[in-house]
Amino acid sequence: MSKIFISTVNCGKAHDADIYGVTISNPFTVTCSGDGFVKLWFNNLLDNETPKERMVSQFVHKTGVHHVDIFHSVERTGVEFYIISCVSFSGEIFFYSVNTKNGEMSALELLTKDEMKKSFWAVKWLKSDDKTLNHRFAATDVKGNTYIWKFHPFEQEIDDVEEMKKKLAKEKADKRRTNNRNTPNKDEDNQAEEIEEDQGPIAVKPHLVLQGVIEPSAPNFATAIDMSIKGLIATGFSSGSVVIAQLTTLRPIYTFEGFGIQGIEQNSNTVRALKFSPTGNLLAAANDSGSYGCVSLFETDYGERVGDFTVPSHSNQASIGSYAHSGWVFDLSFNPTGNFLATCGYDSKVRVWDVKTKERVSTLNLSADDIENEEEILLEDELGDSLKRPPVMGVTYIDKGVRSGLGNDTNEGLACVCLDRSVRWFREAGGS
Amino acid sequence: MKSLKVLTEQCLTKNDLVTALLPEVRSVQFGQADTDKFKHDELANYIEGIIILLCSCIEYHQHNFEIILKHGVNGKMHTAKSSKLSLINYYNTEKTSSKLSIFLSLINVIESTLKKNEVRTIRDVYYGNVELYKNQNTVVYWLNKIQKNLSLKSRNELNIIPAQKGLCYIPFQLRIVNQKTGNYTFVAKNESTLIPHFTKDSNFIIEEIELPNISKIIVVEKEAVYDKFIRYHCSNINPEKMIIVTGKGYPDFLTRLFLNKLQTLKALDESSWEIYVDADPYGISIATKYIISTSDQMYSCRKLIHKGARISHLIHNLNQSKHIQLLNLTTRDITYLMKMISRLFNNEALSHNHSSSFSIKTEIQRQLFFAKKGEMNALY
Repeated sequence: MSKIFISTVNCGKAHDADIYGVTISNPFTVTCSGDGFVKLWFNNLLDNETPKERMVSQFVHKTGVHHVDIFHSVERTGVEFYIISCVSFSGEIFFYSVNTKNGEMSALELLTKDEMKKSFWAVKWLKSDDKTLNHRFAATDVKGNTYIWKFHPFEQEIDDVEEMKKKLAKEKADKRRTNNRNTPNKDEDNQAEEIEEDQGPIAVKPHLVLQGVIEPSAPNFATAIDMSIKGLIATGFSSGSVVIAQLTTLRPIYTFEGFGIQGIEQNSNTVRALKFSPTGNLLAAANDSGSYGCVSLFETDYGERVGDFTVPSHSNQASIGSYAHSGWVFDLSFNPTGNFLATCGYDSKVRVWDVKTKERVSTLNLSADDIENEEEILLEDELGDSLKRPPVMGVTYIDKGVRSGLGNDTNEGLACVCLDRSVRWFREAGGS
Repeated sequence: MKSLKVLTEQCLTKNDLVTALLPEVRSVQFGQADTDKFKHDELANYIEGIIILLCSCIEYHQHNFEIILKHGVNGKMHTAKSSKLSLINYYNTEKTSSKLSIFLSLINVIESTLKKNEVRTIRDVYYGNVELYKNQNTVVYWLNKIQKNLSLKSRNELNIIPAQKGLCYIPFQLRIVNQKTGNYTFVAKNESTLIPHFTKDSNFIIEEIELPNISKIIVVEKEAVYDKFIRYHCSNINPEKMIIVTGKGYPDFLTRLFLNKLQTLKALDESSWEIYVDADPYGISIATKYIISTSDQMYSCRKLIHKGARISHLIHNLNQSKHIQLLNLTTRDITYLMKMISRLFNNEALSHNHSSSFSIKTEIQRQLFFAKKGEMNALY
C-alpha cells in the first residue's frame, strides 16, 4: 500500500554552502554543512514561527563539516546527555554538549591528543538501553580503520565485558542456589549485592575510552559506518565492500561484496550509507552501480543477502542491473518500527520502501522551487550550477510526536537536506 | 723529496702516511663574501679566473686543489667537511669525484654562455653530457648551489634557464622588452607559441593600434584541452577575442610570471580571468599554484577564477556521455585533499574573500564527499 507524505515546513538557504548531513533527536533537527556550521533547528514550532526563527548555529571549522550524529540519553540519577559529534573536512572530530532547553552548545574534549591526530571520516553513536552495556562511539578514518570507544558518562567506569562475566557468574550461582535451596552462603551473597548497589554519589564526567581498532585487509577509504543494538558494527568502503564485526570482540564476521555491475574500474560501487534496522537483525546498504544507486538488504544473524530495493526500469528487462535511484544513494533511514526504509539520492528523490515486500511505497520528487518562502529559493548556486532538481544528501525518519503541528503526534515523518541548501520536513498523510 | 723508507719511519699510522704522500693542496674559495654582489659582466671574468687558477694549479705547479663552497643548495652555511670538493683525495669515491667533475663542467658551461652572451636551457646543458650528469635534477641542484655561492639573486643570471613549457595564444601582437638590456622579443598574433623567456623587470607592450576587446583570459591545465580550445576558436568565423594559456600540468615560473605581467595590462582590466583544471586533487593544486604563490607575489595571478572542471558537472553528465569516467579517490588522494583544504582555508593561505575561495573549497569538499575524481577532457 502506498504512503503519502506531505510537506509540513521547509527552509531554504538554511546554510551558506552544501549541507552534508542531517540527524534528529528531540528537541532538535541537526544539520551540518560545508560552510563550517552545525545548526540546531527546534522541532517544536508555534503556528506562526518559521524554522529560522528558532534555530541555534554553532561554528565548528573553516574547512566545512560533514557527518553529524547525536548521542541523547538520560542516565542514572536523571542526568541528561545530548552530545553532538561531527567531522571537519580536515579530518578532526568535534564534540558539543547541548543544553536541550535553549540549544546552547559547549565544546567537549573527549579524544586524546594522539587520537586527534588521525584523519577521521564517518562517526556514529550507539545508545545502549541496557545499563550493563556501554554506550559506544565509533569513527572511521581515511585509511579504512574503524575506531571504537566506550562512552562512560560518569567518573566510575563500567566495563560491559566484565559486567557480562559477573552477570553470568551470578546466574550460575542463582542456578546453583535453586538447585540446592539450603545453601549456607545465601546471606553472604545478599550482603555483597547490597554493598555493590550502595556506592554513594556519582560524579558526572563524560569520557571516551578506546576499546580497539578494526583494521581493513587493505588500505581503503571507509565511507560509512553503523552499529546495531545487537552488538554488531558495519563499515562500508569506497571499494564496495561492507565488513561486519562484533562489538565485543571487534572480530570481523561477515564481508559483503560484489554489489552492482562488476567489471571495469570506472564502474563505481562505493558504499555511501549503511543502516541497521532498529531491532538490529537487518542491515541496509547503499552503494553505487555506475551512475545509479542500489540499496540492498542483509540479515545479520547468518550474514545473508535477503533482497534489493529496485524500481522497475527498462534495464530490468535487459537484466543489466536494477537500482533504487537513478543517481547515487547518499542516505538511508529506517522508521522506528523497522517496517519502512527511506532512501535519498542524487536524482533529487526521497523514496520510502516496505521492508517486508521490498516494494516502493512512496516517492518524493523534490524541486528547488518547493520552498515556501520565495526569497529562500535557490535555483542556481554561486558557481552558476542549476539547483532546480537538487540532489538529496541526507534523510532521516521522524518518530511520532517529535515534531509539533497537526498530525505529527500520530504520524511519522521525514526530514531531508538537499544541495539547494534546504531543510525539508514532511509527515505521513492520513489518520492513524 | 723524502724516500718512502724515511716516510714510513716518520709516520706512525697509515693515516699519517697517506697524508704525507698527498701532494700539496691549494684551497680555492668559490664565491665572494655575501656583501659583494657581482655585476653581470664581472661574473664571466670571475668564473674564468677561477678556471685559469685551477688549470695552472695542475699544469704548472702539480698541486692538488680543493674548492670550498660555503653555501649549500638552500643557502645555508656548510660544515667544513662537506664544503670541500677535492681533486685528489685518498678517501674519494666515484660519487665524490663525480661531484667535482660536475661542478667544473658546469662552471665551464656557464663561463662560455656568459662570454658569448647566450642563453641556454637546463635541458641543453644536461644533454651536453648525459653520462656525467645522469639526471637533469643534478644540473638544477648544482646550478642552485653555484647561484647561492655566488650570492646571485636568481639562477637566471647564470644565463642557464629552464626550458620553456607554457604555451600561449594571443589575439594581438605583444612586445616584451627587457628594461636592462633593451632587447625585445615578440609574441606572435593569433598563433600558439611557446612563452618566450623574459625577466621579472621586463615590460609588456601591446603592438596594436586598435586593440580588439578581449573578453576572456583562459588558463587550462592540459595541452590537449588548450589545442581543442584553439581549434574551436579558429574554426569560428567571428570568434570571441580571448587569450588562452596553458602551463602543461604544474606551471613553471615563466608561465606564472607571464600571467602576472598580463594582469598588469590595463587593456585586460575588464576581461574575465578563468582557469580550468581537472576535477582531481592535483587539478586543484595546480589551480592554487596559479592563483597564489607562497614564495613570490610576482608568480601569482590573483585575478584568476576557478571555473572547472567540477566533479558535480561530471556527475551530472555521467548518464548522458559515455566518455565520462570517474575514478575512486585513492587513500593518498584523500589525505592530500584533506591537507590541502586545511592549508588553504584553516591556515588561510587562500583568503576568505578571494573570488575563487568558495569555488575551490566547494570543489574539494565535494570530491571528498563523493570520493570521486575525474578529468576535464570529458567536458571541454
